[in-house]
Amino acid sequence: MNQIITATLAFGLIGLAFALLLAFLNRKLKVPEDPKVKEILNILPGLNCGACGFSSCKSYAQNVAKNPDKFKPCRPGGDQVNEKVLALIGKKRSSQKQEKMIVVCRCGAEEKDKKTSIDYQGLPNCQTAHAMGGAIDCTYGCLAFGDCKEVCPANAITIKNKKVHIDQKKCILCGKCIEICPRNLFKMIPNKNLGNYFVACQNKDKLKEVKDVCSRGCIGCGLCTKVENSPYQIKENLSEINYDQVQKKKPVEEGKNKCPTKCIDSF
Amino acid sequence: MKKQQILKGFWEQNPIFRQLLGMCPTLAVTTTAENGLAMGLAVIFVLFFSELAVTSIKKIVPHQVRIAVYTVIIATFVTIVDIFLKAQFPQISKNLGPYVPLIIVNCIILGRCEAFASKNKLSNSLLDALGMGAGFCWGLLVLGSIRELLGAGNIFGFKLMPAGFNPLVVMILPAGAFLVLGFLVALMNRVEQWKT
Repeated sequence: MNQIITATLAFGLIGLAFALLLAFLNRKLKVPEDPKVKEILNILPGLNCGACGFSSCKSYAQNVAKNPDKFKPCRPGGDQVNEKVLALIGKKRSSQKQEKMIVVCRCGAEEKDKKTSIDYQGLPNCQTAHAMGGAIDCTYGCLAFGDCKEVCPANAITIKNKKVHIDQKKCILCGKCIEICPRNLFKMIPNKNLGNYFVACQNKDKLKEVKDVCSRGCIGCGLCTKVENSPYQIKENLSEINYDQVQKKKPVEEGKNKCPTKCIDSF
Repeated sequence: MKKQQILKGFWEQNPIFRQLLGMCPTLAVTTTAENGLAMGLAVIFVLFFSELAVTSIKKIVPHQVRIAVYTVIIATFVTIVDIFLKAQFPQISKNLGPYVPLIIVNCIILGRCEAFASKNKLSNSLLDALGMGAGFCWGLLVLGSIRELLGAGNIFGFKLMPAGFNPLVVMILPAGAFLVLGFLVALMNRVEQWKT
């Protein structure tokens, strides 16, 4: 018992003495922080998603407060947040409005569509599976282990029947899924409120090779390009939409309906 | 006796090259000579005052809680260094990053407190701290200088290599730290062999 008391007392007193010393020095050597940093930080969404190029919302706030001239908008925050931040650092909002974008996954095949003759037994993540040659026959398609789901800070990605679904209401456009996907399936497309069509296939092989591995792949037949005013074009055996040409919904929709493998999707 | 006390840490028992202690800051922060020197000075400060504190309270600290007490003492002085660097040398503080707080768990300091300061009298402990600290400091300085010279072509920011010199980027990457440290340890061993 005696030992416990001496140990506690000695430890407590020494701790107290050093704590007082530190408290005193902390007061003396305090580094003043720009109060704006805290205010900006309070406005930001606080997701630390990294879409702005800084490692965290805090370092973004520090940089914006330090160099207001180098202001870059916070994409997940949207116009509302950016306006507030700009007002705080005393800058006018730039005239150009951010173009609205959405992120899509360009593989529309579900489990029943993708042929699988490989019995993949490796680590259950896309990076490894891709490096090993893939867990499905198609070398372009979604491996569906969910690296994108893991990395998404907004929980906007779900995987059903081995197909990626993106909840556009939750998506904050941070672009992390675009970076992580080893098959480069994610893409940002302009949101034109015209149905947001996109070609949900990345397979650049020819008809037979595509048919051999997937029943929903784009075979490059070019039927979608045959409609009037078609925004579609065939590049490397793959249909592509030229979004600058999309003015009306009709030609895009007609092209979609013509597709024999139903590989054109929309949001 | 006293002269040997100080020299021991400087050469014969050099913390980096002979005891191979404190490898974390040794390998991580010696990308430039400046960073190495700053880390070395920080360690000298912490080592000196920690040994001072430990040796002066060794009679009142019960044996069972001594390690916890040492940790508290070391943590206090490391925190002082940390806030001092932040206030006075923000750039260096940024370069050293988390390695300043990590001095707390640096085995040289805890090792010297436990193995030396808790058993020896005040003056010898202080000399030991200075010797060990200086030994650590010059080790980091040499390591940092070589890596900066080969990896960026300058020392302390001054250009030393001729214009046509192509920097070996590997030297400022972690692999370079292991390479340089390995060669220096080998060199030290050789020198010791020649002596005998």
